[in-house]
Amino acid sequence: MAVREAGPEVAQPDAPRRHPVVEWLTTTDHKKIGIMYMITAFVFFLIGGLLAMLVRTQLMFPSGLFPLNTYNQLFTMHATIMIFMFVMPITVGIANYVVPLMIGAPDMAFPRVNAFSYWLFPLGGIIVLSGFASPQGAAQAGWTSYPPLSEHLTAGSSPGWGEDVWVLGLLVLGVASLLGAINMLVTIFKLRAPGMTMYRMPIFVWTFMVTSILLVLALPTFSAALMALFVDRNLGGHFFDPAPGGGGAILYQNIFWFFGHPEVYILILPSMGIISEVLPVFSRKPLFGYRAFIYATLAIGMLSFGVWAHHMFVTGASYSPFFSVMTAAIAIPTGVKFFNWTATMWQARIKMTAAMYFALGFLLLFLIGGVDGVFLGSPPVDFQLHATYWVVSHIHYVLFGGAAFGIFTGFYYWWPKWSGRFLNERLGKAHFWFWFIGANLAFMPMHIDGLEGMRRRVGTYLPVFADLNRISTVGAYLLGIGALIFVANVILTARTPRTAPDDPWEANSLEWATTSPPPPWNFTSVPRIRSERPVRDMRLAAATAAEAVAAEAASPDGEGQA
Amino acid sequence: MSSQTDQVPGRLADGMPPVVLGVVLFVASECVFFSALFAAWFTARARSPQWPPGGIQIDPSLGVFTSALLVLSSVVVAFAEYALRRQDTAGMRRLLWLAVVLGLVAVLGQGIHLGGLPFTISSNGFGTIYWTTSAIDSAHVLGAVVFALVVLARSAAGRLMPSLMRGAAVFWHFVVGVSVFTFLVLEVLT
Ligand SMILES: [Cu+2]
Repeated sequence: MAVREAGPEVAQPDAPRRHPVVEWLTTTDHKKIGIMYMITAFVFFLIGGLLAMLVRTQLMFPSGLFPLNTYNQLFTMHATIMIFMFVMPITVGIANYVVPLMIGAPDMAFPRVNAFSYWLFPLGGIIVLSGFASPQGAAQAGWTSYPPLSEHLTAGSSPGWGEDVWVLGLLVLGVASLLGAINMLVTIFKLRAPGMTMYRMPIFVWTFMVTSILLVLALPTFSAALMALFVDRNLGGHFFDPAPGGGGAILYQNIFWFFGHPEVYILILPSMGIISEVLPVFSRKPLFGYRAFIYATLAIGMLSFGVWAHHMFVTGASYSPFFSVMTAAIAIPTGVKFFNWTATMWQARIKMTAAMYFALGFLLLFLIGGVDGVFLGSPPVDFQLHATYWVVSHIHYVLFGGAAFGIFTGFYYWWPKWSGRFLNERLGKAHFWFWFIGANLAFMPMHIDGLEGMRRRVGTYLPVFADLNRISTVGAYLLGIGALIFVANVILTARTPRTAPDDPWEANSLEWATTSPPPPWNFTSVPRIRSERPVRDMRLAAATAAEAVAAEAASPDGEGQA
Repeated sequence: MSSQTDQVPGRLADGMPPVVLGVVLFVASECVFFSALFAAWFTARARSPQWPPGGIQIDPSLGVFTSALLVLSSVVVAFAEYALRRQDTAGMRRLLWLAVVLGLVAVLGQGIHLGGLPFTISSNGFGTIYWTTSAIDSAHVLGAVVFALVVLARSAAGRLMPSLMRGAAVFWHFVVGVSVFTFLVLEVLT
C-alpha cells in the first residue's frame, strides 16, 4: 500500500522507448537522477577547485597577485561552491542512488519531486555563478556573508548585483535541498522492504536520515537570513541595521550559525556513513558496535543545534560557557565513532583497495580536523585563533580531509555498481597519495600561520609567512593533479567492458544483491532480510548449500562413486 | 530475536501516508523558518527604545476580520476532509471551494490592511519586519489555496488520493495557525 500511494508519481515501466537525451532530461529514475547530481556537482567541484588554485596562487606572494577585490571574490565563491554546490549535492546524489537500493525500494517516495529538486540544483548554481558577469564582480563577503559587509549600509561594501544573485541562487539551492531531504525521509520511513527494520538499515542510511532531519530543521533559518539580506539590500530594509530599532548585525550571526553549525554535520555525516560501509567490507568484519554508532549519530545530530554561538565567542554577545561545554560534548559521540571504526579494523585481514585507502585517509585527516575544532571550542583559545589561518586549517581538514575523502571513498567503492565497470586501482591509489600528501602540505602549515596570527580572508600578509604559504600552495597544486588523475581514471576505464559482477567486494548491504548497474525498479525480487547484513547472509546460505551438495556427491553411497 | 522482529509485508502501509508525512515534514521546516522571522522581530524590539517606534498606531480591525475568516476556513476544510472520508465527493468539492473563497477574501483583506499602513518596509526595523512577515504570511495563505486547487483539479480528473486531501488540510491548518499567531504578535502584543 505504501508503495502504491506513490504510484501516480511513477512513470510506467513499459513506457515507449525514447531518445537517450530525452530519457535523461525527463527521467524520474532515482539512479539516473543520482548520477546527474554527481556529474553536475563534480563539474562545480572542478570550478571550485580552480578558484582554490587561484587563491593559493595569490598567496604565493606576500603582496598578492590579483587586485584585492578579485581575491575576495575568489575565496568567497570557492567556499560557496565547495559547500553548497559540491559537498551537499554530491552526497545527495550518492544517497539518491544507493539509499533506495539499500532499503530494498524500487525508487524514491516522490520520483517527480526528486527530478524537480535535481533541476533546481544546476539552476541555483548557475544563478550564483552568474555574479561573475556583474560589472562589480561576484559576491565577495565570504561564504558567511556577514552584514554590514554584505549590505549597502557601509559605503562601498558588496556593491553590484553579484551579492544579490548569490542570495537568490542560494535560496533556490535551499528549496532543492529541503525538498530532497523531505523526499529522502519519507523514502526511508515508508518504502523499506519487508524485514528491513530500522535497526537493520545500513549505517549510511542512518547517517543520511539524520542529515536530512538536520536539513529540514536547520536550513529554513538560512533561507530566512538570505531573504532578510535581500530585503535589506533591495527594499531598504533594516533587518540587520546596527542602529537602534534595527535587528543588528549580531542577529544575522545568530540566525546564520543556527543553520551553520548543523550544516557542518550535514556535510560530514554522509561521509561518516560511507566510511562505515566501506571499513567493515574491506576488513571482512561487521561494524564494531552497530547500535552505538547509531546512537552516536543521533547524539551528534541533537547536540549540533546547541553549539552555534561557538562561532561568536569574540562578539561577547553569547553565553560562552554553555556553548563551550556543548561543543566539547560533541567530541564524545565523535570519539565513540572513531572507536567503532578502529575496533572494526582491529586484527582484521584488511583488503587494501583504493576505496580503503581513502577511508583510512578520512580517519587520519578528519581526526586532525576534529581535534583542531576542540581547541576552537575553548573561548580563551578562540579569542586568539578566531579568524586566523587556524580556522582555515580546521575547516579544510574537516571538509576536504573528512567530507571529500569520504565522498571519494564512496566513488571507488560504488563505481562498479553505478557503471558496471571498475575504476583502475593503481590510478586510484596514485590519486590517494597526491591528495593525502597534498592535503597535509596545504593545510598543516596553516596551523602555524594561524598561531602566529596570520588573518584569514586577507589577500596580503607579512613576509615572514611567505615560506609556509608557498608550501601550502605546492600542496594545493598537488590536490589539483590528484583530481586530474581521477578524471583520467574515469575516462580511461569508461571504454573497458562491463565486467563488474553483482557483488564484487563481498559486501553486506542490499545494493549488492542486484545487477551492476541495477535494472529499472532495482530488484526482480528482494532477498530475505534477517539481519543488518542481508547480502552476507545470502552468500553464507549459498556457500552452505554448495557444501551440502559437494558432501552429498562425495559420500560413499552417492551415485557419483560408481 | 531477529525472527521475532521480522516485519510482515505491508506493515509500512500503516500510519501516515507518504504524502501526509511529506507535508508534516515541510510544515516542520516552515515552523523553523517563521521562528527566524519572529526572532528578528523580538530582537529588533529589544533593541528599540520605543515599540512601535515613533508612536505608530495600527488599526487591528481588518486583522481581526481576516483572522476570523481564516479560522472559519480551517473549520470548512476539516468538514471537506470529513466529507471525502464519507465518500461524499460533491460535498467535499463544495466545501473546498468555499474554503478557497474564504482564503482569497482573507488575502484581499490582508492586502488592503497593508496598503493602508502609515509606514513602509523601509521606514524602520519595525516596518521592515512587519511588512516582510505579513507578506510571507499572505503568500502562505495563497500557497494553501493553490494546494486546495490542486486537490480540486485532481478530484475533477477523478484521480484524487485521499491522502492528498489530508496533506492539503494539514497545510491549510498550519497556515491558518501561523496567520493568527502573526496577527497576535504583530498587532495585539505590540
Ligand atoms: Cu560550529
